[in-house]
Amino acid sequence: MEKLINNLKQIQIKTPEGLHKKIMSGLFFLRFKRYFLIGIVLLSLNLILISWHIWSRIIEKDILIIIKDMIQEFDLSWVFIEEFITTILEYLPLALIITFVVNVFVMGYLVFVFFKFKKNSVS
Amino acid sequence: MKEKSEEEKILLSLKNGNLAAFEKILLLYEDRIFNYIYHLVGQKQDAEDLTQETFIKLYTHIKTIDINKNFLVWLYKIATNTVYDFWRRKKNKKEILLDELQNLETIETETTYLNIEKQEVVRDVQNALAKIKPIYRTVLLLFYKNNFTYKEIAETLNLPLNTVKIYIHRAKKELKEKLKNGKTY
Repeated sequence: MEKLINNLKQIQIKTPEGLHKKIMSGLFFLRFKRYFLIGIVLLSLNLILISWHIWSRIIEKDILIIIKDMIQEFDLSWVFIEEFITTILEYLPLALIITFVVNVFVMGYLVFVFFKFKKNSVS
Repeated sequence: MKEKSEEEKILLSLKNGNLAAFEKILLLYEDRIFNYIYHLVGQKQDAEDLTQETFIKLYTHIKTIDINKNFLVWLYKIATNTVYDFWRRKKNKKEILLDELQNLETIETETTYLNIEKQEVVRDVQNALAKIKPIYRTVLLLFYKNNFTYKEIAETLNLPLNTVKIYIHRAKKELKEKLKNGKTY
């Protein structure tokens, strides 16, 4: 019996290398989950507002028709591209476009990080 | 005594939400808890997930801990309850048995550091351990592998002291029988 107990005591399993990191990232997710969600919700609201603003400008100024006309006259040249961009910027301010793009990227990044940590968490 | 007061300092710091203190506790106990859970569930992936769940529970319930009481008992209590909840979630008992049988193959790769003869003996003990009742497995692991006293086991498992003594006696008997039936030891 003593031999059996000694063998029982000897059984030692090596802890997986990534376990420590897994636990820490699970904890990180638990601690910051709320802030991530608040950030994503605020950015979503912001995105809705910007999108609505851009859409109302597009409708108001008939930008879609202008774009459609320009595409019909499509020409792969620097002059055409420059003219196209200048026309768009006449109706849609650059700051608005940049805000929209940045919003989309930051939100996408937050969602990516959120799910990355969620994947490592069992809770 | 010095070690104890050091642990108390870390626990106090952890109670205040210090993440570095949590990592210290994790470094101190993750191996022991992983080994304990692994021997209970017999599956590496499940053991990893349950170890993570145990430490997350430790962090979320740290405010309720009484640092004057035995921290290790408290930690093992969380680990044991986490494993028992996991078993409860696995409704079908057949599934547990199947997992344990699959485990027979994984043990060999885990113990490559031992020589072949010893590996076989250890594997037989491990296999027999997987076949005894979960509560017997739990008391044996706590008593022999984690050097818990009867009183500590009783506290961890919420059992009367005499019941623990009886369980250990029966567990040893059952383990021996399983080994004999396996005819490999």
